[in-house]
Amino acid sequence: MINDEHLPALQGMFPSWITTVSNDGEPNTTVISQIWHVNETEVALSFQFFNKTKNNISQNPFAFATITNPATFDSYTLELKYNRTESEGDLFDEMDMKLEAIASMSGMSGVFELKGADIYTVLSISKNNL
Amino acid sequence: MISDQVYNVLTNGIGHIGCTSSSLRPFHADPLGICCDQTTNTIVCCLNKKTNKLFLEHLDIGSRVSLFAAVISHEAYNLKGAVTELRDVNDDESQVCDDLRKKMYGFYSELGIPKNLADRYWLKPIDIAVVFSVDKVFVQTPGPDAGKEI
Repeated sequence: MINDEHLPALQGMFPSWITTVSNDGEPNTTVISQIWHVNETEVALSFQFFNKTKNNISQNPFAFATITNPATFDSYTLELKYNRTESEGDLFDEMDMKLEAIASMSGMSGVFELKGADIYTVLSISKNNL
Repeated sequence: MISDQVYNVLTNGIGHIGCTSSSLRPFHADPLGICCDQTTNTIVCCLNKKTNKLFLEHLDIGSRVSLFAAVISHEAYNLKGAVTELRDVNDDESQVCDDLRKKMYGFYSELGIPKNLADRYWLKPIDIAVVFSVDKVFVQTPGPDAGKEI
């Protein structure tokens, strides 16, 4: 499902957008710095805070995200379903290192501890340009 | 409810508006211009129909929506409410979209992004207005107040 065409949009050059919904039907749309590529059928989001997105996902596993290729401005929408959280391993280490580098550049080193890599199954991905 | 500070972010920043289907599946869309009436706490999000098909398929009068809007400084707000109207975009709203697009071209140019790429996001027909009445405003600027209701 995820192929080479989509990978540039999963490098974190441009922020991504994500919408989740609580189980009482209140949507929440927000920005995230990056959606990570895991494999052909999965992506990951960083879990750093107990925010509304995390709270919504704990109630209702579905999410909707937009990613953008910074070289072409092609954008893609992804329908996602939360699968699991990983708190160790190569993906977790890669995410932790990158987030710490970003925090360090922002003068906030050590503030945004990565609690886990939330893994989502990609239900669909579609190009969004005219 | 919508302060001048929030108004400035809404009308000068980039927004995304989310909704939910009846089966609680989320969707969102990319407004190409946002108009705000502080006296009535009403927001108009101007959209392109074709690229926001999934969002519009699940939107109706009364639907709950979440509008995230942010500016380059990272100042951001999330406004929630219920849709009151889905209609054509009027001339004043089209002008707001034109003005924002020109502003974005300038901003993108400063970042070294050519106009032909910026056009892929910003130069689309603006053919539907989603109007909603705001009942909650949240701070979403990263930091200790993120998530706090105003």
